[in-house]
Amino acid sequence: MLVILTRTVIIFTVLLLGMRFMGKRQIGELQPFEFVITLAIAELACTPMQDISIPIVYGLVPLLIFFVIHFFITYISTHSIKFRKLLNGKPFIIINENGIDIEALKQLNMNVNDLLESIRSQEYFSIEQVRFAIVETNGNVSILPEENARAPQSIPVSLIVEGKLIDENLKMGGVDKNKLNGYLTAKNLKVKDIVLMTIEGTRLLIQPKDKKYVVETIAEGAL
Amino acid sequence: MNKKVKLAIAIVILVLLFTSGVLEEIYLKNVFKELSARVEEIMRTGDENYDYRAVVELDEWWKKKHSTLELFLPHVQLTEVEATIGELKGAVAAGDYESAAALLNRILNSSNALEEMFGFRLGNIM
Repeated sequence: MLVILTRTVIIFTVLLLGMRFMGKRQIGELQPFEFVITLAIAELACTPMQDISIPIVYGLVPLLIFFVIHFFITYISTHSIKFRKLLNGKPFIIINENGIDIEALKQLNMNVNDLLESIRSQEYFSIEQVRFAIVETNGNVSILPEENARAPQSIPVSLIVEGKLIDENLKMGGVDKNKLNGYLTAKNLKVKDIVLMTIEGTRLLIQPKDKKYVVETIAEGAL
Repeated sequence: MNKKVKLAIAIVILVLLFTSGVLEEIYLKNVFKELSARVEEIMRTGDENYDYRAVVELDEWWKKKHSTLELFLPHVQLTEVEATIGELKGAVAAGDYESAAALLNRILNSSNALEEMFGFRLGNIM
């Protein structure tokens, strides 16, 4: 027991010094390589703490190596933009003046639902409220809000997402499928060409592929 | 912490780790080489003539090395060698030279195996 106690104190101290050495970062701001290091460190620290038949150096040496690697990567990143880009990637604009950039989303392995979730978590319930949205290299989404944008009075319901009709949401939004198809035909639009279509009361938002989104107020019962 | 100080610390840690690794490698090679040499020396005396004093010396020598080796080798493997040497002592003391021969071979093989297992080579890295 005393052995475990002593090892725990040693490893904890080394971890603390190492984290201090690595510098201050909130867990949500970690770059991918830092996230890898954090996960690995947790595992490395635990094993020699619990198993006294394993020499403590089997935990300490990898920890020290990780701290040193982190330092050198950070050091090189500070002095080289190319290296920084290679290591961390670059930020991506996923909402611009035209609305959702579906190609950017594909490059990030994100879908429209992920995007809507990200902006909702920052209290923007419609893409109308967002002028620009950027996915940072650490995965966070930064938003430049649209000034004077109208805030939704209720939660917009997604009727079409990435070219697919969401049947259960039609019921939720009180929308008739045939009327919707008729409406789209009249607008010369096909379901498969629509990135996002939402309804909020009588307010329709349509984001076609490669075109700016359109917001329309429709008559009650039109859909 | 100043960046230059951090850089210095990082370099020092790297150099220390690398140097320790090289020294450990050399130390392990020497210890297992000596273990093998001592065992072979005992075996050379012949089947009926294993020198009990040599076996006791081997045991004492190994106990000393054990305390250093357990800083960087798993204790289970080291304890196995120690247990085998203990058995060997008992076998030689009891005049059971057949068992002693088997145990000597076992220690020799363990020594070679441990040297391979913990040496710096591609097979261990992979």
